[in-house]
Amino acid sequence: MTELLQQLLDGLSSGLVYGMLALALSVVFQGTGMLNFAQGEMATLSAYATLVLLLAGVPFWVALGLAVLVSAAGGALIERVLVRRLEGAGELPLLTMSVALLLGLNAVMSIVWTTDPRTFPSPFGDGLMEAAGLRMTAQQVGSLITLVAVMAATALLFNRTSVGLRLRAVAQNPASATLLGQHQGRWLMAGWAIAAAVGAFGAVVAAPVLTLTPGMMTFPLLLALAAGTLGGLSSRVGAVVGGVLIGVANNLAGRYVPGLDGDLAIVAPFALTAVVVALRPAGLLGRTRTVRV
Amino acid sequence: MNVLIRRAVPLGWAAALVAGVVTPFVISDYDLLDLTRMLAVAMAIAALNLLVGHSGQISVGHGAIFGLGGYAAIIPVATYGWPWWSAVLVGGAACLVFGLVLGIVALRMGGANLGLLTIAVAAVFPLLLIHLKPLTGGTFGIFMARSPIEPPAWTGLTEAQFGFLVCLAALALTLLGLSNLVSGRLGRALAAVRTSGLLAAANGVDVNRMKLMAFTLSATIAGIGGAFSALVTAIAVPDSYLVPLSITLLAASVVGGSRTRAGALVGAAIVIYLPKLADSVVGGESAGNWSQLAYAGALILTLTLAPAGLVGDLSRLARRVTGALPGARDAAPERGPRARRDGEAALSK
Amino acid sequence: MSEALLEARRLVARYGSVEVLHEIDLGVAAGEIVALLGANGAGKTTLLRAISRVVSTRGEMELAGVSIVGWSGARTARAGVGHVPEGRGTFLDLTVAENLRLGGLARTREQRSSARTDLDQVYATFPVLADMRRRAAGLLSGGQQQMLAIGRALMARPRLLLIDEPSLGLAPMVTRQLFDTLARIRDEWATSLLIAEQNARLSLHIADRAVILTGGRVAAAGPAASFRDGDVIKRAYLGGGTRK
Repeated sequence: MTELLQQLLDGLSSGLVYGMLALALSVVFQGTGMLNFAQGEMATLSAYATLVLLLAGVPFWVALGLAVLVSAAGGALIERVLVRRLEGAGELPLLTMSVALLLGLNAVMSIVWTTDPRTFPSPFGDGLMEAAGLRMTAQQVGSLITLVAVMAATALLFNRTSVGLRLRAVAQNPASATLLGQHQGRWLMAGWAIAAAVGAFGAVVAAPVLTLTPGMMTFPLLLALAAGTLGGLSSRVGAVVGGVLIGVANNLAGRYVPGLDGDLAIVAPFALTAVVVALRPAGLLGRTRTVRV
Repeated sequence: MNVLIRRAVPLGWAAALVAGVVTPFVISDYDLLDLTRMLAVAMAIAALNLLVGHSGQISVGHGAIFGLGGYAAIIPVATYGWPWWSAVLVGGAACLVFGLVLGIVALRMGGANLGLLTIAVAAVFPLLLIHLKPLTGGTFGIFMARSPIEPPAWTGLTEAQFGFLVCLAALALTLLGLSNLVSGRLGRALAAVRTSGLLAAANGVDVNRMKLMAFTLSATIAGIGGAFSALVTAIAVPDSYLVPLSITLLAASVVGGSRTRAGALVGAAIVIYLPKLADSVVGGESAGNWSQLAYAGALILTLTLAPAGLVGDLSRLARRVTGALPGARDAAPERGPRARRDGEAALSK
Repeated sequence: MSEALLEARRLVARYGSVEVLHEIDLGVAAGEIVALLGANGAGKTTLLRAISRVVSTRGEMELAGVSIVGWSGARTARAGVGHVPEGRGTFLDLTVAENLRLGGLARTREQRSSARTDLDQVYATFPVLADMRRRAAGLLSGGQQQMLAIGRALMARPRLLLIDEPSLGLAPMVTRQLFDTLARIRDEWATSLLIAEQNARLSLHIADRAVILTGGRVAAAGPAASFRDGDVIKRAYLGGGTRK
């Protein structure tokens, strides 16, 4: 029983990382209406940027803050320069564009930093915590707190500020938002910026555990896509909930299902997603999407 | 001038075919192998063109399907000594079934999830290959001493020459078949599905069935291409069929021009020869990454500047220059600029 | 009181290659209510969208003497052109209060301090909205959503309020009340109104002037009183169907 609880706890830990990526995906999806396959690589790039700052002697949280800001700017830039050009071109070109970005960013990182794995320092130390027979590393606890804090901040931003109100309005009904004086382009950029920032947090928190390589987020992105689909990309909360469920499913499958060990365990989350979506096409917490004419 | 253009295209194809048949006799066997691989890849890209360019769906997993065809073909030959042509059929059949199953799952999950599904397939496929070691040879894969595509003695051809000609024939048949398909009633139905599923359904087109059919056919053809590729090179390893291959094939399809026929060849040439170019220019480990970067750049440029792909936009340019298309110098006056303002919808009222 | 607030001259609008408005002249004076009438498809919606600049046009258009031809939709809205679109364009997943707040976000800095009082004034104009302020807008009835959409546009303190088919989908009694409120809005909110409506009778009742569109052209224009007998209108509609 304790073993199961331990697995659940570990799954929750990794699930939050998928949840963060899924949250980023959800923000972009709601604003721009596309799946950003490059969200993982963008996040990995943020982690590399943080590492560069750390190696230059910048204190951890300052480096993270700077990297988050740079990532936000990068996200806005991508929307303005690449995504905006394909406005109105349809789902397929946008999706293909994000795939191209995935390829390109991956290539750039491999060229600049090679594919050698790098250790990423954790600000939480090496400690181990035990309570009621359950173990969590300090890294796990620290990342849990950080990610929950980021999610809470994002929720506050979207639900309680006028910035968040504008973002939600532009995402829901861009035509009406324009008639109320909101520049659609500006807020699309903002959405991408926020998504990039959220992804940066996720990557930096995951890097000490996953070790930093250009391909670090390839599988997490897949799981995040599944998480978003499962939880519903039209709901930010749904995306995060989906992430946790996927993380737990992935962990439990790897541990308890014979034959599905290591990377292959990824099959279980996808099977779960397929089942849920067959029953609820918009995801657990999603709303059926009205087509914007 | 217009007539000349219209005659030029089939003439061009005929010339290409002739050149193709002659090639094995003027090129070394070593270089021939690369060209043969190119033909096999062209089949996969042609398959992708059908899916992406004509039915408007995406697949980021055709590399895995290519690999499935390869493994499904080489296993019967290497392990059980089957003749190569039956192995090709097995490869195609395996991918047909796989494509059908995947297509049905995708439909159940809602069309927008096809991208997710296919990229998941692309990621899991190499893992499965490694996992199913007794069948697939694990990380080391399967290889044979020589290609099982043996030239009959009376032809006097070398293995490489015969392999090339067989693939040439297969590709030619494929392109011809797809071309006929696309220009007929089925092609128009696909075009309707591509532009607006709603409109197509209103016109009596069974959208889901069309999409499924397109996906299954695309998978089958890609599988056959993969089968040929594996049999000609006499090797199948998991490392050849990783996620980047799927993305590369997609990029090649779009950059070549996913609604053109020649685009498949252009795309395949890029897939085979770009890494070699990168190797000679940059060399070493980062060569692969530089070609990857080149793909990404080419894909982004194509999407933003030349959406019909190299072949699509160049031929449009050529026709405009020779005056065969309106919009050339003496054509009708330009329409007013189309302003895409904030929130503008294309209504009519 | 009667300087020109909006002036459009020789306005042409197209969707793609189809010309929908052919050389329209239109003017709205400050403090005026203008009824824009015409059958379905006559171009009323396009004309409103041309004024709020979400459709591209040729010709001249001036807002309080300033040319707005090259402006974007968002910029025009911020300059004081409110537009309540056909179908209302409510943000269905946002609450009533959030919808209204959104309307106020486009104001200029000086106006922002009065946002609170304006919100109260909207609730005073449309009391039913006050009761529903925390409810998701999608749950409101058609008439309530219409009030919400108008209230939202008012929050930006527009100088010119464009309203497209306010009576669409509303019961007759609700519509009558709505039009009475619209008449009051002109005075209480100091804004001009340009109302596109198929229901000629109600709009003529509160309008100062009327403009009738047929097939993308101005068929007739003049004081509202001169249209109230109905013959001119019937002819202009070309049998295109006035709704009951």
